[in-house]
This record gives sequence, structure tokens and C-alpha cells, in this order.
Amino acid sequence: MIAVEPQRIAEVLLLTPDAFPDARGVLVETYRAETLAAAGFDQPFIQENQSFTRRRGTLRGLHFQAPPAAQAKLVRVIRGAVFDVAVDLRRSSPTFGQVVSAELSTENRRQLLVPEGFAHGFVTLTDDTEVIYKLTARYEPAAERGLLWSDPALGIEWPLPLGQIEANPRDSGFPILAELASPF
Amino acid sequence: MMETAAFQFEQQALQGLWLVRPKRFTDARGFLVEAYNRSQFHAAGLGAEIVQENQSFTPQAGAMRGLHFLSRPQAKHIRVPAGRVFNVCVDIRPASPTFGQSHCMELSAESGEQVYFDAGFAHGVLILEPGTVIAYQVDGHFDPSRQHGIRWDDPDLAIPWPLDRADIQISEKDAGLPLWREASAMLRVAR
Repeated sequence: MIAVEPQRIAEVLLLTPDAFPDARGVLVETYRAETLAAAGFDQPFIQENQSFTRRRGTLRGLHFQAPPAAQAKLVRVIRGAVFDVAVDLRRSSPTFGQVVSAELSTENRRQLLVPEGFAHGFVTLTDDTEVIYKLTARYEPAAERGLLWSDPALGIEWPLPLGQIEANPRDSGFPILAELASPF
Repeated sequence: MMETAAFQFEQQALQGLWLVRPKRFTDARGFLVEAYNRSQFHAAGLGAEIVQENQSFTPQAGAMRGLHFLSRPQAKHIRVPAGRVFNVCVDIRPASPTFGQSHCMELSAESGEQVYFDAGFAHGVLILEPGTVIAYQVDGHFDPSRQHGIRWDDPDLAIPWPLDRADIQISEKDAGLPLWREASAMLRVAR
């Protein structure tokens, strides 16, 4: 069983799979296509990435690919913890510019489903953090875009002081929401 | 061997079984790997349509899971995001020239190597490091009523487990699985 909780923006789903412990350890069904289909999401995932991040406070994001290379993402953590963020970039959406965030960790087993039309990013809350995310469309460098993670207009409640969050030059150079021509 | 943008695929001696090496892209923050890519897998002949993924976490070395298959065998894509395992696949296709032969190799987070097989294999793992995580994708939803298995220590399969028997912990259910002699007879009939 995977518990599915629609978030403040209903297309964003927080998933919590059951854990089946026994003497050897724990088994978790981390993904079931039919569970997501029943929750209204029926796109197949065609790629999976794994990132390893050495330091706590490292930011990766906020990223998206423009249509027709737009991607939905299913994000989970297999080592450590992250603060995971999705920003609604659909111009006709009543929640345009609004944010859904969740702490995902090995311990809480949570996953975030980030649909097409959202920017996505996370900051690591632990050293040596590993994140796995499934994607519905392949990596397309020419379609890569970004939104500035620290844009105050987004009102993201980062759980670390901004001074403790480190982004690479590329992620620090993305436009703020007001200057972003959203392709969605 | 076949190489794509993000992977090397190496066909193993058992037809339909592949060793997969994802390429690792490293920078100052850490690294990124593509752990799975449908179009590159399919182009290389690893054609499963994935509908489910499971993940096991095992705190102790020596824990063993297997050898398992379903009555309609599944294709499986296996990787080890944390720790290290001894991974075993047994060919259970009665029409295969390698029926009953096994493929054994270590998989670890450090090497990043993965195993993929088409439908037609039993699968087992022995945990070699505490805190090991195994993630495996399959092409069918799990159905507990269709679970089957073979005894891990079957004398005909003679799998070269890298730990002493006394150091291997196994569930009662797995310890009670049939021997290869019975399982293979059943597979021949089912065919």
C-alpha cells in the first residue's frame, strides 16, 4: 500500500509507501503504476536518476524542462534527508507561483510527485545525501530552464538559514519568477 | 558490449541477462547518475516495461533473500544504491540451453553496477554489508499468491555463496522452498 495525499496544489502528491519489516530488515514497494493511476497520474516513467550530495545545505534547483520536453518527477531519498520544493509555473493556474514543500527522508519514506508545469529543487539536510527521482521525459539539455531558488516572491520557508545554503553558479544565475517567461 | 550516452550494457553468458554500468557524472557537489533510461535500455535490447519498483533495506550482513520467482516470471532491473550484495540469478526457462545455470556477481553502491534480466530467472541476494539498500524495478505488479522459489543452498545449483552457512540468516519461508529437482520438474510441466 502507498498512501497518497494531494497537497495544497492538488496535482502535487505526497506518497508514503508502507514498510514491511521482518527479522532481516524492511521491504518497501516504492512505486506502483496502478496506485498513481488511481490517483489520477498515469504517465509512464522512462528514466531514473540518482544524485549523491556530499554536504548538508547544498541546493540543487529550481529546475524544469520546457515543453515538449517537460518532465514530471517522482522524488525519493535513500540516504539522509532533503527539503523538497515544487513551484507552480502554469500561467493559467490559480496557484501560479505558489509552492509545495515537504521533508523527504530515509526515515519517513515520503516521496513527492512533481507534475509537468512545476519547477523542482531541494536542499540537503544531511551530509552524504542520496536522492532518486523518476522522470517521464528524457534529459534534454536544450530544454533545461531554471528559477532562482532564493527569489523572495516565492516565500519558500527553507529550513536552514539562507547563509547556510550553497548553490552552484548556474543555479544562482536563474531568473526570479517576475522575470521568468514561463513556457507552461 | 553495447554503449549508449549514459550506460554500458554487457550481455552475460545466460541469454537475456545483462550487466549494466551507468556512467557517473561528478562535480564539486557530488555526483549524478542516470540509474535507468527506458529508451537506452530498449535500444540495447533490455525491453521490459517497468510498472513497479521495490526497495529493501537490510541492517545486517549475512541476511539472504531468495531464490524467488513468480508463476508468470518477471523481468527485473536490480541495483544497490547503498552497501554491497552477492546477486544470484538462475535460468528457469525450460527451453533455454542454460536451464538451471546460475549467474553470480557482487553488486555495490561503490561500483554502481546493475543487473537486468528478461522474464525467466529466479533471483536471490545475500547481503554483504550492514545497511544495504537494494532497489529493483519489475515489469508486473507483485502478486503474493503467485510467489514461488527454490532453495538457496540447493546441491544441484551449487551456488558459490561467499559467506559460511553459519553466517547466513534466512527466513523460515525461504528455508522451506523446494529443491531445484522439484522446482525444475514443475517448470517443465508448466511449460
